[in-house]
Amino acid sequence: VTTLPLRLRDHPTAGVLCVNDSGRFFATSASFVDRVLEGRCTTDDLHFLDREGHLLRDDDAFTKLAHLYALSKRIVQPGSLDYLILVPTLRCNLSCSYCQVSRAGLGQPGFDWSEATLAAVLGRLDELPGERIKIEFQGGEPTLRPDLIRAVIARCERFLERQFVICTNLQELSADILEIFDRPDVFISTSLDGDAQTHARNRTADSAATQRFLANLNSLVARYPAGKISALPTIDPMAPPDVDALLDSYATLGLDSIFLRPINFQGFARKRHRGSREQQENWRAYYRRVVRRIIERNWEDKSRILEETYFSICLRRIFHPGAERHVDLRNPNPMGVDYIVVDHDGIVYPTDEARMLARSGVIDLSIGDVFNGWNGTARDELNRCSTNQFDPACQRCAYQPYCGRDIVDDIARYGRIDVPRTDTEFCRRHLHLFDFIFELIYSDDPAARYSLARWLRLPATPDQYGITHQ
Amino acid sequence: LIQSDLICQLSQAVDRPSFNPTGKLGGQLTDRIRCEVGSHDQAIAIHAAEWVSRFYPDVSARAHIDYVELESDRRSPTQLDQLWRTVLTNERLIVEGAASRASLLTDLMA
Repeated sequence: VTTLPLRLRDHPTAGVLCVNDSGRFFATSASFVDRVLEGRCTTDDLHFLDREGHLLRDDDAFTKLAHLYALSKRIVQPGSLDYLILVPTLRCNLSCSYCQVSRAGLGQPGFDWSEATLAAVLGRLDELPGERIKIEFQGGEPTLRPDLIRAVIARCERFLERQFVICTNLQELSADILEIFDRPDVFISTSLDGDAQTHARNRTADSAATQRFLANLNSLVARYPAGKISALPTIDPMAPPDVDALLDSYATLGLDSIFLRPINFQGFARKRHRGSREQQENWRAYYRRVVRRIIERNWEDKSRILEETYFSICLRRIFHPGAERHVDLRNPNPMGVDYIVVDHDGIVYPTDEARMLARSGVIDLSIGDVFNGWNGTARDELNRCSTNQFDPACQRCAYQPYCGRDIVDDIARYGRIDVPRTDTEFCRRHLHLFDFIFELIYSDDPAARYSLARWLRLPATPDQYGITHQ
Repeated sequence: LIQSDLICQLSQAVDRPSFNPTGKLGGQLTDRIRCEVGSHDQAIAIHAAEWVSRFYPDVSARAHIDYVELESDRRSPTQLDQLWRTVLTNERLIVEGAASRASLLTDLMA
């Protein structure tokens, strides 16, 4: 018996895209599809399919084994816990209209880690078996509690590889915080919504606070080497900033990556930005314009390379199976295994979005707490559904090997996880994104090819990224 | 590899003053094709028709006993024909490969 482990997609520009279950792909013509459909494959067709590993015969153990190996690279095998998002405080000194976590007021008591919570977190860190650790401090505004950040960092000295990311609005820069930032294993992540006007409208509400933020950001950019600071915008699709103004605001600060995020349907945004539940065509068109403009700018000035972070993540998922560990796009997407979120009260969530849902009062998806652990039935229940492997739509989708599963996103938007996959924003977003990526993969535009090579971290630009079979 | 007695025929382009495969204006002109389905393909064709509009929202499909109708205001008849053949082939590969895929996944998970 011979099988073709292929899935087909009628692509807007590349013809018909054929993707193997393990992610190998080629573009082809309608005539090849006809030959397959009508059982008229030529010797040349069969030779091509065989050579490229698309033909599985029952009597060919070697090809089957090779296919199994390639398939396994597409399936996440989570290691031990080594990535934690910690929320030492939910208090914040800003009040953004789309705050995803419905932050607490600056002076509100009861929203910081207690002594007991800190002790329990440190105890959990001591138990971790691995030699690597990545900790992201989220909030609220975590820099309101430098003492808690310092305590955690000090407890992680035993790890051979350490990385700490402090997600901050950079409204205040105390000497205390600068001392923490100065550590080479500390990285800074902030929000920059575009030019000063856009940033003020979305976040700070007044120009003095915006100027303070920009002054702080500029001083840190001058103080630290490239790569130490990253920023990402939250964009209101109903009023997106001018593309070049947005890119300029990043480029002039020496920031090379920009993670375009529409308003997340979480926290305050659920009420104040109801339209953010579904991203409409105008957002997707804006996204394409930004990426296209980035490509043009990279081609015009080759001295520096800008990238859209999520585009690059998805691109690398196509070509480098297993290399990306972006926790929002994995298959399966293991919950509470290699990555957890610890909230201000010690409650443990499988993802940051799960924390946001609980905070919004939508649903409690907590899986435990730092005092008693999180390896229970709640976690197992979530993990039973965290794969795209058996979904009937995903089984028919050419992009399944590259895609993932995010049940928390489904719950956030629809209140359930059994909505037909193709009706979900997650699916629509990724269908659009992978269509766009393959449009560029099969583009003849040298500027597009140049940027793709840089985003794939290749030393040179290849002649082609994808093969074609006529 | 695969045998098929499906015959797809372009039937008609309706409500269109002229044929313009590259410059369609969304919402203004609707193209419709009718694809005959052979008896061996009926079950697969019905499933395939169900998936068309899910993966290609600009296209609607209606399955009848021995034919499928597709229509779109963004695609020409030729494009609709190619789309249908692609979706049908995809569905066929999914159905024919289901057992093999399940077996491979079982091997992997073991």
